[in-house]
Amino acid sequence: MEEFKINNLKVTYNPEQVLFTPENSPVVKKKVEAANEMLRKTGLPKFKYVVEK
Amino acid sequence: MQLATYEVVTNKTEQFNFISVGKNGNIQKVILFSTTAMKDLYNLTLCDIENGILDDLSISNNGDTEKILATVAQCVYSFTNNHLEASVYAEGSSHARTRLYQMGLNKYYDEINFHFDIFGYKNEDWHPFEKNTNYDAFLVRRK
Repeated sequence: MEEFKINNLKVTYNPEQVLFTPENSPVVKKKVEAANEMLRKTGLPKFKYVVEK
Repeated sequence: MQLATYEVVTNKTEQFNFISVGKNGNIQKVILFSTTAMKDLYNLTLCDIENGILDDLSISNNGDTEKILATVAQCVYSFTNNHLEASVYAEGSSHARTRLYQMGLNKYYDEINFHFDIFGYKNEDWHPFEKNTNYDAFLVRRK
């Protein structure tokens, strides 16, 4: 298995890892439906957050 | 962010598995970035895995909240490194979990804010995130 680092996160690549999707997981489906409901109401934030530096 | 994080296992950039190690033992967890109905908007989910089933309501109380939040934060960095246009939406599975996300954003606001635009959802609209304000959900995207 391949290992690599992103910032200080150590990541191992495993092609055998089980994937969870809305189709095979009620929890994921519920979460995505909640996000879609939020989108239906508001869409994404339209403004750019201006940061003072 | 130089906080301790768990090592994660992935087979693509959208899902990261790790094992929480604490006072209640070893607990399998997964962080998922799921596509939604809107292009470039992904939903963040943090769940326990029990017998191959995801559970977003379990309270593991493993004494490693800071390390888990740091791991989630690093996974958001990793994910958005590969999806620069992505916005990531996060809503806790309970009020307590939403508060937990909020505490993490409050505590590490300066560092997160340096890399991300942060928004909070309340009163059915988005607002620029402000510390010490209660929100129902959060959204971040790379600056």
